[in-house]
Amino acid sequence: MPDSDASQPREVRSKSDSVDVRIYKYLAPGALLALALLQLFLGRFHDLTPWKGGGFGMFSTVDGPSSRSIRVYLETPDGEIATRLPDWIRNREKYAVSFPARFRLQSIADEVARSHWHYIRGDGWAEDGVRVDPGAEAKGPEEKAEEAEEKPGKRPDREGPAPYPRVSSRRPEAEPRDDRVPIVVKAVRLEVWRNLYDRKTDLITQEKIAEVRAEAPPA
Amino acid sequence: MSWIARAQRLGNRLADTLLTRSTLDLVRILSLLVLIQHGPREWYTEVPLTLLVLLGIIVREMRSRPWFWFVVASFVLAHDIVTWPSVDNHKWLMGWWMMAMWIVHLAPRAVQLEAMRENARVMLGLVFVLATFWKLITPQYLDGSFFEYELLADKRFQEAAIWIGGATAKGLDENRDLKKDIQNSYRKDAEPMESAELNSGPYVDALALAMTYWTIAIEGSLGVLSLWPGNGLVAVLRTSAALVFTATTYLLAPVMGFGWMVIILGFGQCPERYKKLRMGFLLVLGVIYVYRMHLVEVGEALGDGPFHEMVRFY
Repeated sequence: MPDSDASQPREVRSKSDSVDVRIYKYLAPGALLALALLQLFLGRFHDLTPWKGGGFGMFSTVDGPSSRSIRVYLETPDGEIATRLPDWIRNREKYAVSFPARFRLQSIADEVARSHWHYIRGDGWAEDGVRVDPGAEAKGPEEKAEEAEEKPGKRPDREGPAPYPRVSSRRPEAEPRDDRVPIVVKAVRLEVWRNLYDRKTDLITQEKIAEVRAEAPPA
Repeated sequence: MSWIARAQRLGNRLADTLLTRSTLDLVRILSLLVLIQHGPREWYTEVPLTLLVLLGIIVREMRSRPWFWFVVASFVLAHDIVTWPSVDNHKWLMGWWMMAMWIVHLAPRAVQLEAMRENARVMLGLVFVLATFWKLITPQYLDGSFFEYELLADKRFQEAAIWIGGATAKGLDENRDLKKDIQNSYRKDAEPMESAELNSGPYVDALALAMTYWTIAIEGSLGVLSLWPGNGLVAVLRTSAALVFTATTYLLAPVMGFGWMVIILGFGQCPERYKKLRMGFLLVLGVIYVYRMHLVEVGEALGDGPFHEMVRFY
């Protein structure tokens, strides 16, 4: 096959050479820009944190991954239990807080709902999920407000049992533990929250940005 | 000969040794070094990539081949794509730069240097224009809230908050605890915390505003100057802006992966005739690296004695 360059007139060869050189110079920056524009769209309209995703929005906002968190609530016949994600799901947590897409959160919620949950002893709660000392109440809001005035910026020390029993979980595919009291979980709710900061008052507050719910499979 | 003259002569010799090496080859080596220092950390990418990078540093022939950069870029970009929502932006910049190095090495040799310089210039410009854009469209950045929050709650800015902002180490430790407390309070407290007041310092407000507007000015200038083509005065201004940015930013904020990339891109785009400016990048890299990574560690290891205070001051 004849060499296509040699058969072309000189001025056409120059034009195709200049097109080639532009590809060498600008293809990679073009790819960078394309991803950055996608990240801009997802950041503005779909809660992707500006700190991630290849758009170079880091150091522009308080809303980074460390300022976001996931709250987990187990819905049981006796009420809600607030807990945190099981350790074996933590590696997916960082993706979920950076980009709380519904499919990702739902997948995590479904797995948490399918897990085997049980009570563990500690923080004023017994192994069967019953409070150890019903008389030991946590401080009321007035007492906490008084302590906050005396120690600005520092929250009062917690006293009394934690408000929720301590719980632990095993993966859905594992066998449930016979030596622990199981928790009947009807559903799991996940909420993604982010920190806000007001420089006039030096206050951090929180804002919910996503929520999903997953029903537990029937026993 | 005075010691100043001796130091100057040594500096010139070092500059000549480093800078008579081909610019493209120096950029290749710097690009490989950044992968060792700040590349992907998952074992399935780190192990093969480190081996490849070490071979590339030792064997010059290997690092001047397109297939070498294709393999390197594939590892880095594959890692970035798989961990996309959580990977830092400087790792994306590394991935795109490795891709650029692959494409540059596909070009005829006669245009490789020019192609590398253009890639460096345009990438530098895009990164800083995008970064400035995000800041300009974020109200909590423009009013100083972002930097005030970072000074009070991010350990990376602790030194600036204490030495310039007048905050105390104890107050800043409490702030970081408060940040965690407010996130965990929903499961630990009968009445979850709805807000937490951060401890501050007398000059933190002013410092935050100064950092806010300085950052917009330097990043915006660097972005515009980098996207403006030209090898004369514009190149000098652009290169100087990159040097000022790296020297001022990375002494306060130790995000060294990004700092390395700015140095590589800044060095790569600088025309060869500006020897002192090019040498400046290598010097800034050395100074920042030694200061941030080693002197601070030495100071912390020695505890709270007078030497520690002196090291912290400098």
